[in-house]
Amino acid sequence: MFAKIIGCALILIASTTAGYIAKFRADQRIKELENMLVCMQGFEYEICYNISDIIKATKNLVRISSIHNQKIFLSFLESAQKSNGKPLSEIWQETMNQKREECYFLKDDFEIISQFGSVLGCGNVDTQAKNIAILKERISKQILNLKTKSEKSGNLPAKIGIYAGLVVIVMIF
Amino acid sequence: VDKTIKKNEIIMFFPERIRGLFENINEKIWNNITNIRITSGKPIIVETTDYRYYMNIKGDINICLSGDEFVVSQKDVSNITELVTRSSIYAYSRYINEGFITLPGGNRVGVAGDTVFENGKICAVNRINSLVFRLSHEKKGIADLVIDDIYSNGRISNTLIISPPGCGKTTLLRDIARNLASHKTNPVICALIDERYELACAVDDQPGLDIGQSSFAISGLPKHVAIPMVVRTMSPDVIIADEICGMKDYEVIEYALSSGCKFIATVHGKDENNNEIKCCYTDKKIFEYQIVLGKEKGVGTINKIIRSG
Repeated sequence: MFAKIIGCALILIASTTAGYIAKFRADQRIKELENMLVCMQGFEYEICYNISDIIKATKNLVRISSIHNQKIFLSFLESAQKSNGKPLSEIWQETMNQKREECYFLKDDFEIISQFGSVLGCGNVDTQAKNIAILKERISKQILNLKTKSEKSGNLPAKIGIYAGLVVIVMIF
Repeated sequence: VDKTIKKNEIIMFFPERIRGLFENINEKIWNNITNIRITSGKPIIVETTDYRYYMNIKGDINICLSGDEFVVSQKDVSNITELVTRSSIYAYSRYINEGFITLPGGNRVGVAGDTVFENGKICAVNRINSLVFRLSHEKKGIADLVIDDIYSNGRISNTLIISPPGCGKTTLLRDIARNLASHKTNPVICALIDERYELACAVDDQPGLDIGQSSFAISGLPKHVAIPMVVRTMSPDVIIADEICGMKDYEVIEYALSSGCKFIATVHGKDENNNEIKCCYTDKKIFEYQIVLGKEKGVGTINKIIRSG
């Protein structure tokens, strides 16, 4: 009996933690997207007003980005500096693939951010400005969607964790 | 004193398969290289002050075509373009539209490709297929022969250096600037109008070439914009400009002279009798001192010195 109680307590703790982690990840995802939006604002400034090259612009982005976005930009920067002439679009795509597991972003977010790389560095400043504007718009929409969903569901992921734990406990007894 | 160009300063812009070929070139030849021509579908041409060489697949260079030349692919040219523009074509588009990209250390890359021409100007250069790396050679001391004539007893003579392309007029002009700005007893405030980043050669945060202690450079601006700006805001003693051309430049030079500045410039031309030079500059007698350069007896040879007024 004692073992059962201990087991139930552990199940409840684990499921509740899982619920809270899910909630935390959803919140972090929004925060990271918001930070990406700020980064793109900085990127736009560097590219459209300072006419900095991508490497210099990315170096400045690293300073204003959150820890997880920083990992993406640092990895991209490192690869771009050793590019040996490889197009930036390929380097950006490779970076996205590498960093997929290390971020709070999900598949939808990565699709949006990956597409940004397709004309990175090409054309003229107008091309870059439009590319950044499209990304900013798409991220803004994504944030809005996620916030709406989050408001609707409230603390649901955390509660689901608790309820799931309780269901398992009831089943055990 | 010659500034030797470090091999790595240039070959870092080549993709690995081309970089490997250049490793074989010995230092003696390397220090004399003036141009490296890389064109899609053609062999690599290495030009020194004396010879033109073709590079073979082993990285050896020969004066004659031997049939085993290394042929450059379009991908090689694209890779080099990515490397020289640091993968940011947009940041260099205004220079590419003028036909060149400036590299650190005063070296330049001339570009050619399919050009979009609209409303009287180049809008874009697509599919760049030919590049020429023009290696800068800083030669300190080459102005020693003329500096005493240009600057004596605290007086600077308005000077015009005339020569065909590739005879060393920019190198001479830079050394004149360095001498004036680093004069031991009475250094001169020199404003270098560096429209194409050839004189001071500062790129980003990289230091440029030696232009003396009391000089400054204004880079990237057309001369007819930069000269009045410098006169109004920086009050220099002398303005130094490379490759002046036409009446537009003449008008701003006249403005600078009437404002009390002295002027030292270079102009393209075989000699002082070139029609455009006569019409715009020499007939108007604004330059008291003219130096005509040639390369018949070696690059930078002074063919003639004319003192007027």
